[in-house]
Amino acid sequence: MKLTFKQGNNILGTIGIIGGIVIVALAFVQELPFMKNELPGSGFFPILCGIAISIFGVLIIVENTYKSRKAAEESPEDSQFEKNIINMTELRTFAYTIGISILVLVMTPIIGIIISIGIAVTALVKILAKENMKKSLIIGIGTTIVLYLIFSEFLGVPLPRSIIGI
Amino acid sequence: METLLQNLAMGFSVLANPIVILYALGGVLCGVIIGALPGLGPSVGIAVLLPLTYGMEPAAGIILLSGIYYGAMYGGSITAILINTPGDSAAVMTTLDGYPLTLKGQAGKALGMAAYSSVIGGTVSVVAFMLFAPVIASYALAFGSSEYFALMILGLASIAGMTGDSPTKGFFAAFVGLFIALIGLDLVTGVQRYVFGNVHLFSGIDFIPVAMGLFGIAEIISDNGTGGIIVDKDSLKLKNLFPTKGEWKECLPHIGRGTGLGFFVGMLPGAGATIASFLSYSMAKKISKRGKEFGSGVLEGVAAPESANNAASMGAMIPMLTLGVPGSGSTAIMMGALMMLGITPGPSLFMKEAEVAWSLVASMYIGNIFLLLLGVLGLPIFVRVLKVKAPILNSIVLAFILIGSYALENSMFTVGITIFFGVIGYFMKKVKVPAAPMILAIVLGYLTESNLRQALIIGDGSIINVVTKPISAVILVIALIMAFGTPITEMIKRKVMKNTAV
Repeated sequence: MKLTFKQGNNILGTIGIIGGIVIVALAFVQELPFMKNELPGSGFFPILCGIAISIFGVLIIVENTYKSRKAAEESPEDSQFEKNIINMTELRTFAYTIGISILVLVMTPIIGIIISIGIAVTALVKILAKENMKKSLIIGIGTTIVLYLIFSEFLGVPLPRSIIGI
Repeated sequence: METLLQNLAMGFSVLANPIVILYALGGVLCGVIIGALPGLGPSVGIAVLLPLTYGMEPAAGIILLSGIYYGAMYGGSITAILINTPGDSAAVMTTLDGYPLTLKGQAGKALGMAAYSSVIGGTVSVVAFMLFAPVIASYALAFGSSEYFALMILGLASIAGMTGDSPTKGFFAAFVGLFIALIGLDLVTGVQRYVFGNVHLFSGIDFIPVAMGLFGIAEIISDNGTGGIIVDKDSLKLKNLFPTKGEWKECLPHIGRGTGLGFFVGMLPGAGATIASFLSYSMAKKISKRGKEFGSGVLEGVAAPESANNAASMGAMIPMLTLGVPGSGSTAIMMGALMMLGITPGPSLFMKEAEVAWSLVASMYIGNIFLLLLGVLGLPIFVRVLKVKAPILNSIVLAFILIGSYALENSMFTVGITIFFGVIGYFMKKVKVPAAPMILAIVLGYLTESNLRQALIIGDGSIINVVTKPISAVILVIALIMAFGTPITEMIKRKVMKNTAV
């Protein structure tokens, strides 16, 4: 899988342009007035932000084109713009970290946040640190107990419990 | 002066009681621990431990709480430096140079400098507090919405110093941050903006879960290429935790400026330690000879924001104690605590409750000494965290981030926001978009908008009336210099060099 820094910048700029336009369009859809009674309305700042985001999106693409061309002329082989920014190890960590975090979000209403996080830590240690199951479980359970003691017992945070009340 | 010293002696006499000293130490220790937990800042610490003061002598109670307050201000920097996750909002700027120093194997030195600059900032501010509190407080009250708007613009102008290699990307991030700050109910008209009926968004998006995602989760995901963080054993030896003569020479002026700036900004209601640390970092970057190296791991980049945020926490006590106007969430809770203990803050506090007020001032000196001791002696313990295998440490940090973001609002929606910004932060890292301008814009965005709109309503809709008020005008000129000073100077330099060459 390859995505160069130059392509990444172009994607960023494009997202900026589209995002800015969507922000401005939504201001009109939500009927947020730019000005009201000769004073800035609730749409004043959002519309200005939307326009600025689009403009900077364009500038990012222009700057990227100019700088990448210059870099290619100076040292075609060392140009950072042509370097791949996707690293497979990182992508794997990204997928597991975000995937397991989302699972915590989904599982919390069913099994409570403490147990969800315990499972998440165990799974991450097992998968990413490649530790054996025993060590992963010890770290997972240990972290869970420390979190419970700090947040629930010491700080009194009302943590979401499971459907059976744990 | 004599009366001042007599009053201070009266304050210290309260601290002669070992139990009170123990409260001060316990407060600072709890504060450091709570501050180091991602997402939990001084306000949470004070609110949570408030019940401990039930039945205490008023002086002892307030000494305990103020210990938590400035302990937490320092504690936030520990995780910012070690794992790139700011413990609280005021430590966001510390991550910029603190974490790169850790990656270079100089975590001990970075933490040491954070402790020294926090203590210097805090102690100098206590002296200023004693000498100038009543006078300065009256000036702080002269700040209306026009002046606040100008102050917010000054804060936003500091973005110019945080844009890294590409100012375009820095300003892009800032405008995205500004937009995020505007999501929620418009307090002027009550209209929903970009909420789409989601009740969780009515109060807007807090910047702490955003910062935890952009800095913390993004750091967990990205491979920094070191295969874990190297901790140089020598760097943990006590003598190596002290900056060298040369480092002191470089850092002290920034600590001095950060302290002055932090103390003043801290006094302004609503501004607080976060803005003080942003401004101080930006000012240090502009002034320092090594300005271009900021962000790659320079000690001045730790010293400037750390001195400012601790100075600001002392400054914030002034309007609360002398006028009864709390300037921040933390001081508002402190004020509630004082009232709970039967003390009413206000202009007569230092006369009617002189013993309590002066014992609080005295405890600030003692608290800063404890902070220094804890900071220096605890460093080897803090840094030991880095010896844990990176993926294991990351898994545990992620657990703290997720539960910490839940604890912010007792809502899983906030956890979702943190994860979402973790993903965004990862992509921002890949395409080298700086995260700090986005955070600063989220902090200042709403305040900028509401103050401008209020100022325009008061000023009959004329922007001229807003920007020509004396204090606003001065601040706006400084903002202009901050934003455009460097490019204009460089342009002139280039022109002069070109002419000389010809």
